[in-house]
Amino acid sequence: MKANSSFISRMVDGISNVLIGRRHVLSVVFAAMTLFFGYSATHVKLDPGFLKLLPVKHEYMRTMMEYMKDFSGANTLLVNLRWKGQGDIYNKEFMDDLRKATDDVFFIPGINRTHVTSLFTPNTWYLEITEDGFRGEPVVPAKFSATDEELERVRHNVTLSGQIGLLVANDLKGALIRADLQDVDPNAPPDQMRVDYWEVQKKLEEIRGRFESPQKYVYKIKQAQGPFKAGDVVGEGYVDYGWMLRYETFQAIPRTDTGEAGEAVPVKGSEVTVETVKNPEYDPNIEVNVIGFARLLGDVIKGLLGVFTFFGLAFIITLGLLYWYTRSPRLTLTALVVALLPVLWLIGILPLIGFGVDPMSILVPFLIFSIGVSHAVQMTNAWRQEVVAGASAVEASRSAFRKLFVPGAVALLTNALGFAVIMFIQIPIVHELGITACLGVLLMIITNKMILPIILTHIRLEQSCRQHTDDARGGGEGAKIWSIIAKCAEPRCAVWVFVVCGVLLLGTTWLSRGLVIGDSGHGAPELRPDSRYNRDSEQIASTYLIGVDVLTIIVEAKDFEGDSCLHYPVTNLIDRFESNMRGVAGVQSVMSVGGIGRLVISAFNEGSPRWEALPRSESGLSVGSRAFDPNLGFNNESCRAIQVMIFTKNHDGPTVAHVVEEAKKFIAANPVDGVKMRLASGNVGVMAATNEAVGDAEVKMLLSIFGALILLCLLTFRSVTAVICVIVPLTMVSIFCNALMASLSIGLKVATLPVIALGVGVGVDYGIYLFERIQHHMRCDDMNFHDAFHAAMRQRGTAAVFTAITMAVAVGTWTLSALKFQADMGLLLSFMFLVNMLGAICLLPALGAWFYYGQGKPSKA
Amino acid sequence: MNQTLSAPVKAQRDKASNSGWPAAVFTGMVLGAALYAFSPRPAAPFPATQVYPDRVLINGLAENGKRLLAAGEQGHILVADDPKGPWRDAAVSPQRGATFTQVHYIGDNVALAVGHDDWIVRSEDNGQTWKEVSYNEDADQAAPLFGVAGPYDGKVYAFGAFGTLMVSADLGKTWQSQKSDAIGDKHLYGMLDGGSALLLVGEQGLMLKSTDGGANWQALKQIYKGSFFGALELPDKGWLAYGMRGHVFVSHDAGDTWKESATPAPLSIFGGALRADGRIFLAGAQRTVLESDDGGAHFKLYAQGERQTLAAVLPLADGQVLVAGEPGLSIQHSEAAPAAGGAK
Repeated sequence: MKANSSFISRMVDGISNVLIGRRHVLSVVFAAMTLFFGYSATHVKLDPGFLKLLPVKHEYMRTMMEYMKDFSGANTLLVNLRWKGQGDIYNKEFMDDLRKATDDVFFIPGINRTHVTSLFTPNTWYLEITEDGFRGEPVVPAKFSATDEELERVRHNVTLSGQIGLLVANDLKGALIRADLQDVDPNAPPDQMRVDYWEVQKKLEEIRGRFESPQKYVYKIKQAQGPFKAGDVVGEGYVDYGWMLRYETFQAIPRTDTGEAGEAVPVKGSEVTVETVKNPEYDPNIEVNVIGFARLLGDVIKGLLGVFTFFGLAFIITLGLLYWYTRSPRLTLTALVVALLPVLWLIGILPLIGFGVDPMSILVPFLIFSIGVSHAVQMTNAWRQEVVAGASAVEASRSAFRKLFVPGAVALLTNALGFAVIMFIQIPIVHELGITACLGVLLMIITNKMILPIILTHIRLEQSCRQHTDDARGGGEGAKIWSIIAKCAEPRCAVWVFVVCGVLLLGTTWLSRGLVIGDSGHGAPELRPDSRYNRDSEQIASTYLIGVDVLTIIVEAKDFEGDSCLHYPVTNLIDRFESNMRGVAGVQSVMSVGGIGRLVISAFNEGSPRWEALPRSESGLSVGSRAFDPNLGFNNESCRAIQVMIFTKNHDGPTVAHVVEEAKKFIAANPVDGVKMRLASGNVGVMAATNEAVGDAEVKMLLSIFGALILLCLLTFRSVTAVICVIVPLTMVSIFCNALMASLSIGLKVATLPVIALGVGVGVDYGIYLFERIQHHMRCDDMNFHDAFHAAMRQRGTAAVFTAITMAVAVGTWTLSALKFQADMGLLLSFMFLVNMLGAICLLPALGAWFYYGQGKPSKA
Repeated sequence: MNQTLSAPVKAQRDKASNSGWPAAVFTGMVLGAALYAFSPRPAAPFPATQVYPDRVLINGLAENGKRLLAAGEQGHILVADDPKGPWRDAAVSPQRGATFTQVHYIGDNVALAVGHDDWIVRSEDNGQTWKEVSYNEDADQAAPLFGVAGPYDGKVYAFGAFGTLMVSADLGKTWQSQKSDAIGDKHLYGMLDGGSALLLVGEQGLMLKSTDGGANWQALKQIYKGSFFGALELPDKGWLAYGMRGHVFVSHDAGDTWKESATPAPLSIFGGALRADGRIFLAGAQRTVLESDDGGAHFKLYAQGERQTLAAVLPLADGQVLVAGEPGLSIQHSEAAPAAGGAK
């Protein structure tokens, strides 16, 4: 052990000699690397995707992927036109707009055109039962010009079609266009097959703008280019791009002399002028509500633009705090630059390893910056103390490196571990986030522990700073505070610390049991409840029967002769499943071939509800075969697979879990030969899978992070007591965090589960930095615990408290985000950073005071 | 700087662990709290899965004093002692899962429910438990029954699709099938006992009359080509038949001549009932409830909704009505109806 330990110190000494000795060569190398990564960073792309957000390996998601072609899955778009004028929707103005909007939706790239449904699509039928039998026709006649008679006809047809509540709002004041988006567009040329969500969301914005925007924007080319003359119109739109215009590209279609359309030519936004004209189609009576993943992503990306504001804000706050702390512009600047380096390197590496920046992982660079600042502060602080003590810049650098390399590297390793264990959540985006963040933290070992000492060798400390440091070391305010805090390390005070913590622990443990997995509240959990998207979602959910939260069960019946739906055991099972699920708390309605088949059979028997049942014979069932038409979207050809859509009242974690549980119970209790019922698709299916993935990962993640930390601390300190002193406060704060989440109704989700791991991974730094000093003083100087702690606080306490505050404030700026998940993360991480620091400076000494009771020399004081 | 634990340090640590009990206790507390806080959290409590009376298709209603029965979808019979509920699921054995179409009291505490697959169940305990008395195993032969009537002169009748007519002479314990050329294979939807004669109504304007207690049937002259879904005997001994698209007819001469009633809308009617004061209530498509206070000559709108169809109506003592159908069970009160009772 002895040999091993001195090996480490010899190695650290060796590295420090090489680092300082070859600092000029290394500077060039590091500068070159920075340039290279800086160049590479310009190629980084925004890379959002739907599939990345899914726990793809989860059983439910495999089912969903398998039937993505047959059924819409979860990537549905709903466009609702809401009539705000007099009367209901049956007027020419509304119907014209609805038809236009339907056409627009139809032409969005990536839309599955066979599944677009609105009153104006031919797949919307009605059945009318008369004494002479019944007739079925499209709801809106082929030649429709919105005359009064035709409007009355449509009103009549809609009533008969059963679409009220589905395609037409319950209050007859709105109509829906439903469409499915494919992640891969089969109609596009191979290189453009992946659907560009940003493009889709822009098209959706245009559809909204077409009716809601009083202005229309006409884009004219500034200078002649290709087939265009200066002043030619290259594009029109309804969305004001503002300063973002320069980043737009217009696909302008030149007109030949004969008026034919030629090949589209891309024209950059910077090459056009904007003219604002009146929008002739603006209709103050129309409100357009759009929901669906593509739209959500659009809002999320817009919310992300705010992130840069927070970054700026955090940067300025950090700058101010750093200056206040060091009183040295040089050190402040150095620390900031060094903290930015790993961010730049990381962004440079992303394109090289084939990653992009995803809206969900965009916070990583900011986190890396914060962590970078915290480590830079420790290093500059140690250096400054050496310089003030009289060392030269070079010697101070070498000494700071030697003192901090081991605790710093260990602390960074624990940070990396914190990021690594979140990869237990089996979701690609989380893996991406974990890998990116791990990489960023590891880069910091180079930037903070190697580049920073090299830079510091070139710095001459300002007099102002020396003065300030001297003040702090002497009998200044700081020292008094540390004496007070050091009281925690006196056994008598320590007992009081235990009592206070114990009471808090009891309360928070009880509170933490209320934590739920999954979302809470209505609407998209990513956004705030009052966002446009969520208001749209609320509007649709409140005026239609279908709701926006759907859990889909896929029923496979592969081996039946002919059409599987004509086999009573299959259809009856589905029918019974529907009835059963309708009785489940949290379910709003259920739709599938069972219920629709019964309705069709009833329709064939003069609409009598007493006929609404499934006959056991094949000939009887075939009466309802119109219900088994694959075009209705409930089953594929020959009913090899059938989907049952369960609309839930909300997507709160507990509701989702309960509905899934009840569905599983029914499936287990009702086995039918040759029929397999598989969970699950639909957005609630995705949530169920995600929640289960999160739930599965929680304990694994915590055990591994704490296990790894215990191991690392054991290796570093070689003392079980030290491990207990460092880990116990962290454990307590983790419980506090859960309690905070429970009391703020923040669910455990993909965004919030990593917080504990990250908070623990980062929070352990304080303990490690402090305990390293404590141990040093106790062993080398034979101090008692109290004195050792006091000494450690004087050397590193300020830096620890300062970094905790800086990081908490920087991360805290996220709470201003338009995106709820960012705000939640910011709040919780802030909390973790701050409270972990408090734990390290209050609870850690209290524990040590008793564990090391009576050791070392008695205090002089 | 990384010194190892030498032997004296270890000894000190042992001493420390003896004297450090407050810290050890606290450590134990945190450990315990963590184990408890992160152990699997209990699932949130939800009401058990059940048949919600407003989410199940109900085709038939019956009443015996305070006891109410509602029969419908997938072999469910709901029982309540108050129209507001709570409704309980009665025990039906064996549970065939076929849908019931009608339920009817044939004596105090004795009731029959009929449904698809020639299924008939019987209860002798006021609807709490039901025993099967008829069921057709043969999927290709089984037909739905649509109604049960009687006892008329000691006999109980069950009737249904394709001219099915079944008779029981022992209050529903055993059943015999009855075939007759006059009935043919049209669906039979309704029956009434007009004192001097029995009337069966059904598909495509079918009206059959028997003056010998159901042994022989004669077709009446067709007055309407659409289907009749039911018939009621009025307090003044008149006969009322209702059917498709708002067609209602009344006869005061045992079916020889019929007069069409005025109804507000061409919406099919699937159920009807009388109130003690003689008012007639009918219920049907688009959650329509019609009301007549002049012996069936004129009907006015009592209530109307959207989309779904009602199959049965039961007037309640407080002036409201209990309705049943696709939207399950609900209580309707009179909507201040506009002048809807006028001519069609």
